[in-house]
Amino acid sequence: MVDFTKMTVAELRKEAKELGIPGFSLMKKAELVGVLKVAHAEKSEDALKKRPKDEPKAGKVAKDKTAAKPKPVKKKAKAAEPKEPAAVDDAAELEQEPVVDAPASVREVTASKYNLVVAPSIPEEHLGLLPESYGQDRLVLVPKDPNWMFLYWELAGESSKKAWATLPDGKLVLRLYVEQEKGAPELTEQEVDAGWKRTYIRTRDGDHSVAAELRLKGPGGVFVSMVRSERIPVPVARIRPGAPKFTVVPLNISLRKLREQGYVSGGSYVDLHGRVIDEDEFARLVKQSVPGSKYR
Amino acid sequence: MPQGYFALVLHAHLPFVKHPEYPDFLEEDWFFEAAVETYLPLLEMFDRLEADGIPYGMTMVVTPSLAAMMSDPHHQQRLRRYIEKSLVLLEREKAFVGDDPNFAPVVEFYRDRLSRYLDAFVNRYHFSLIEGLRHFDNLGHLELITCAATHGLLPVLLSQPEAVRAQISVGASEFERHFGRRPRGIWLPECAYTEGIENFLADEDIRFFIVDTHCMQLANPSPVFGNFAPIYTPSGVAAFGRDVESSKQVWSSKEGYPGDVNYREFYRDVGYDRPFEYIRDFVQPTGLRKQTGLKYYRITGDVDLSQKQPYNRQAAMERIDAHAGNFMFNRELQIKHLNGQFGRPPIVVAPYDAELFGHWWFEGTDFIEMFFRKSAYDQDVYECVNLSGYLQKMPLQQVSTPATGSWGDKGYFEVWVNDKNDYAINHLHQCAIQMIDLVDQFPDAQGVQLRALNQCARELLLAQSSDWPFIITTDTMVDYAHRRIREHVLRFLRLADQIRRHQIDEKWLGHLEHRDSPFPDIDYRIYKRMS
Repeated sequence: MVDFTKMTVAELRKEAKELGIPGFSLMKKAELVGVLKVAHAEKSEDALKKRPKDEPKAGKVAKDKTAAKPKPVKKKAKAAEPKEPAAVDDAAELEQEPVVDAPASVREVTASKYNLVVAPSIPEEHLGLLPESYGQDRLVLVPKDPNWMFLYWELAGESSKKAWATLPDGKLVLRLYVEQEKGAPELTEQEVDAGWKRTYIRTRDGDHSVAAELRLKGPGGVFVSMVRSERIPVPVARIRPGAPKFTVVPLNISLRKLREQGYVSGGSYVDLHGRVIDEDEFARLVKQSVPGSKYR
Repeated sequence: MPQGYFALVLHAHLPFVKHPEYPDFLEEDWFFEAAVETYLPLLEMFDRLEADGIPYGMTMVVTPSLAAMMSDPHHQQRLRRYIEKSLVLLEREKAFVGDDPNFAPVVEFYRDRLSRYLDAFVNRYHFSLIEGLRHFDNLGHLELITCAATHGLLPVLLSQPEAVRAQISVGASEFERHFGRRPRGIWLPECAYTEGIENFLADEDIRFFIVDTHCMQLANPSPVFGNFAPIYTPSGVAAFGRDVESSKQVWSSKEGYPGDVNYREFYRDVGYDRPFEYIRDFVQPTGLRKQTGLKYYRITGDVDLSQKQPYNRQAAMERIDAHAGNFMFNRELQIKHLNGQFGRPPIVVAPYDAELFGHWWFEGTDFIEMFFRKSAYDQDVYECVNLSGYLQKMPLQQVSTPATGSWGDKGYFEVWVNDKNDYAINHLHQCAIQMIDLVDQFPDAQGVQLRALNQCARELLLAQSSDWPFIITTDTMVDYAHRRIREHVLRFLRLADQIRRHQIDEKWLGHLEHRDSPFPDIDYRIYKRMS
């Protein structure tokens, strides 16, 4: 294995270019080394001949105590060599194969044949690693459950660069604006490590929605805002009582047409056939269909 | 008029797995196993029920990624190969077990069954399971519904609403392409819902979806009939809630029916039991063993796999009879009780993963068939309905909005959003952002550029599949799942970069189109920026 760490950036780039690694010209040395290691590993895998993945369908076999360890098998040259390198599909070949009614002797011959189906040759792609950065300032909240929200960010865009230039010794703080179901919104602030990219924040029953912001804070209360998230609702875990309203939505009329007719569920009414009716008529309909007129 | 309704919903889904670059690829077996153990048995069941005039009202989701495999010649030919190969193995097995009174009948049972499936697959359905499903959908008892294009977890994708719109819109148009009509219902992937998603459904005139029990109970305002009537969201789209009781009887491997000692044992397979030289041609080309689908033992009890007893088909079928009868009896009680409580016919909605029946619980499809037969002849409390059929009968319902949640472990999104898999979320969002930008930049692409943009849309959708984070969390085929996320994101990024630089590698694009090939009719402009 080549020791990429001893190569210069120019040499690494040259190598990366040859391997067709995207975005190599923007990469720092450490990234280049990482990407090239992977690309080379893939290449040598390639050289060893592509092999299907080894794992059994786990979750099923994992529990299988009888699963015998396979003996190291000497590969038959026959089984490893593609018979027809250009064949794209086995369809035509299989088409001519007698299926159910073939005598057993024919089957013995065909059994191993089934393992020789040849795939089209698809060149290795050398895709490399997932990007570390997309060159943007972004802060995103994703709901996980009523108690936790996932938060990730990336500070690689213009406004964060400006902020660091303005306050080079500033501290990165995460501000959370939590709107409550009832009462005043809450604001919390915590210092975060600039190296973090993903974390989870705690939410509580009664929290309605959360928005986040990353700020760079300098001495004496000076700060620069770097990026804000959208406001995301917190999943609820409570029963929400309320006066029930009923409506009819006839399945045979499209929602678009119903809307064009001025239909609004819970507001204006149609009968079981989609005809617009007034509120009193509708109340009678509900009474028939939903026992106990207390529901209306 | 019946006292209530029972609505079985089967969710048939597998992620799109296609590896023409390998002659044999283990993860492709997911589709072949499900086809042989679940989809073909279901088609056979529909056929028998139709022939006997049994009203088997039920709903079945065929996800667009599964439909894409069902209609792909690659999978069709390999599925045929898979069944043929099993039949070849069974010829050998016949000689191997000889006249052993325990195993000879089991081998014969499998030979008969697989020969029938092969015959139906090739001669009746012409390699297309879609054709079979469409046939029964047209007859009216079975109602097929769609799902988001690649089973993306929509609440996580919602930071780019265009990404959610694309998942749903492609889901609806793919359904129409395969089944010849617009879908009336949708299965939200993992039942994952958050307020606002219903508006994307309304735009496609999709009329109903299904949420988990707690999302219904916590709906706003609280539904007066709980899970036993749908609610209309303010968009006019109905939401049905999952019933816990009927679910548990089938789902739970401990208290549920599938754990009965007479049912087939899943983990004891010929692929692991036979001498290696004998089985070599029927396991992985690398020499590792794998499941062949030929399993000759019954669950027996809480004993080591080596202590399992031989499978007896007749004994298993006797249990099916008892369990289907028990399930029917419990539904009668439940529905009578609810009718008394509400003074109105309730609906009990029982959704399951389709692959539970047949693949995991081998006799599961027989259970469904027996349940429909008994429901038709042995009771008159409830009627089995598909969900559209119910909405036609009962169009007046309460207006309410379901609460955020999913049917995953703990009821929210933890399975797909946790520290093992959350790294992917940023990449999925970023690719969606770039996709939307690309539509801005190239609103009227033609030729190769159009092909490349459409392929970008496919790569993005494939990366978004909820199966990858799920697999990572459940710790099964973790490397494969990481690989799929990485490959689709990187293919997207490279292709997007080539499009922007006007330097599309056409040969590579051709390979991508061949390999990542679902949704042939996709139009990248589905990602047009929303104002």
